Amino acid sequence: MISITGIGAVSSCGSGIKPLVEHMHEGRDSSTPLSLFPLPFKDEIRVNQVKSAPSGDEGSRIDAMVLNAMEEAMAEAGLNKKKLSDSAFILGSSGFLFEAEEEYRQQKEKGITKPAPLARRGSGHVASRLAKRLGIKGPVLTLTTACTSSANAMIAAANMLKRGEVRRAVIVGAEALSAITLSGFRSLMLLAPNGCKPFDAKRQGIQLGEAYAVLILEPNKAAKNKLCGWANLCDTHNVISTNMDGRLIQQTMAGALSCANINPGRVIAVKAHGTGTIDNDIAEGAGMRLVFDGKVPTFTALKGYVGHTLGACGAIETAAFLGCLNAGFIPPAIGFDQQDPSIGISPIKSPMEARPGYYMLNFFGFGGNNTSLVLSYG
Amino acid sequence: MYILSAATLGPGQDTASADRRALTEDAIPLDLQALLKTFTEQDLRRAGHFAELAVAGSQLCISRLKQPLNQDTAVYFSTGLGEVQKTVALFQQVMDEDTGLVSPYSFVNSVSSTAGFYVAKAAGLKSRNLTVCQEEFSFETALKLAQTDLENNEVDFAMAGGADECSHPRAEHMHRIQLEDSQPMGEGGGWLCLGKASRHAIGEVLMVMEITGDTPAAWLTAVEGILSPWLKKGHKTYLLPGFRLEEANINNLLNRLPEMELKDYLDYCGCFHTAAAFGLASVFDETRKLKFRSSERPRSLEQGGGVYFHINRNTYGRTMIVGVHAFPW
Repeated sequence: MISITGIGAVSSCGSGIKPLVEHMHEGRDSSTPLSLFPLPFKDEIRVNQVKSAPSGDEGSRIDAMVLNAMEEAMAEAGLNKKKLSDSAFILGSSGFLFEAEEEYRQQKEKGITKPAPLARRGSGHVASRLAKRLGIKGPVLTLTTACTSSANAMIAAANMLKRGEVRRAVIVGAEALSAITLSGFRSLMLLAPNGCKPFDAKRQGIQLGEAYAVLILEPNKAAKNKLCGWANLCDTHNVISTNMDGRLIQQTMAGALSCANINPGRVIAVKAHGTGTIDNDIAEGAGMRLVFDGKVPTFTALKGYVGHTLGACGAIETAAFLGCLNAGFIPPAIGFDQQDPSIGISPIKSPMEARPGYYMLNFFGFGGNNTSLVLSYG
Repeated sequence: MYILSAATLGPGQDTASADRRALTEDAIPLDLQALLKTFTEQDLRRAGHFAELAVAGSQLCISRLKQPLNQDTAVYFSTGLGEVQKTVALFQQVMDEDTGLVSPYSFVNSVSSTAGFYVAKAAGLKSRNLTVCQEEFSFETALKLAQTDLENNEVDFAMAGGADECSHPRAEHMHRIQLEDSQPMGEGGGWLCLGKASRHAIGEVLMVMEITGDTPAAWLTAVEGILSPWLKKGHKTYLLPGFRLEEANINNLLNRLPEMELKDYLDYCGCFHTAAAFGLASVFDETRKLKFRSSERPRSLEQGGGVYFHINRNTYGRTMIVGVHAFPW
């Protein structure tokens, strides 16, 4: 059994798990117009950006945020830097274009007419840099499977822990906003002009977010939260969207349930991936109906609170969901108002009491990368 | 963990050792269309060059399996830089122009999981699919994840591979990889099909491990401690030095273990983050000639059974060793 002994977060809701949980209990939106950098188009883009970087770090914005979330997770897990040194450090992100873009802008401001694009090192550099700052000497790796990156980081960690390769694993989900990413999603016409409305009849797409979250995983320790099952499968139907029949989502969810050795009827609630795009929500709804044989349990979606944080969503949404369970409630999905007949199921609109038992979390990404996790609470 | 097939893809499209030619200048991006058409009828027009590299290498590896590819084979794909050429194009579109127009294909290709998707699609796999990005240790890390999952019985078969593309201007690319000017810029990759059973195996992964050694002497002692048992067992043993391993380390190691032979595979593929995949897969190369290849064969990597150790370091001073046993054939 894999225990989750510490969680920490920095998101658009604020620094720490507490403000996340408060937003989710009150159903409060934390989006604002983008103010971090200029975009090459006129539309006003609402995003979930971190309002102010935590102080006390002279390094990069990303480092400051991760170290802040790390401090919170370590405190909960009762760890200090020395105890952390033999841990694995596994980071999930879609990449770190933000840093390369920032450098590019700085060079242009200095009058360099042709700055080098992509001047930064590969995505793996951030994990190496952070691990060094934290004094971690265990394995360091970065998973970049788009929106499932940090969820897959949890799977990789669980397997390392099962084999006894490491004593504990630090999972980091980190995603900064990027002009290229925002422009890319706009070119695919996937950015929502009216906010993220997962599973709603009037949903129009995603709202991007920035978030940093840390989870500390340890084997067989007393903890309220445990990672019990997982599965990752690749749907090769289409590189940017999931097959709308939901079959591969069903297989992924069924794989996670089988790994946890439980039947679907024992799942109390599902945290859906719920991007708010037309096709993906239909596919996820179909997948849930298939796996639960039409009797879909309570479900919710969290992207209305923190935005779609891409590679970080596995970690931030798991941390947020656990934070809510630990506070005694299942968070409602904000942005949802009216059921879509083509989906036929609705997320909850107000908080519900969290009972001890099994909960399922879905994460799906570009490249057909589908991941489901089963967690237990209590 | 047994190796069921292996394939390399180097800058000269020299997919077998008999045709391998040492690089005399920096690699230029390969034209892979003809090679891809020999393996797959799928339309890869929307895939970028980086994804083509990944697909071509993986398909070559699958084509060499002595048994049908198991449909539950998991994919562990690694890259240091990922898609470079399309991402650079996006920089110009977004950061230099005020139109807000971005090529959707460039954007989709720049997404980190796209190459892994095309690898799975071309192979007809719907199984676990991970992309690892850890600079110099990207391939080693992917191989380690595959080993963990195979030994945990999470998966029965796996494909571990790596690919990186080169780009121009040279100076910008070299800066991204932190290469010295004297090092050749390369591109390509390598793949290993892996399984738990030895049937049809061409080799075995002996170890994927990180070592510590804060001083040069401690480092040398640690590496020697790992390698020397294999020499004592009488195996023909080879050193495959990664591109970040300093010449002094190589020389010290060869002085300490003179029975070990140097295989400088970087002469053939140049330097890139996942060159380890090329180096390790190259020891299993088959010599059969494929019709699209050049007939020139001035140099080749020696074939035969042996134990090969790939050693590389990263810029943080960490060292990773991968040991493989290539069975005689």
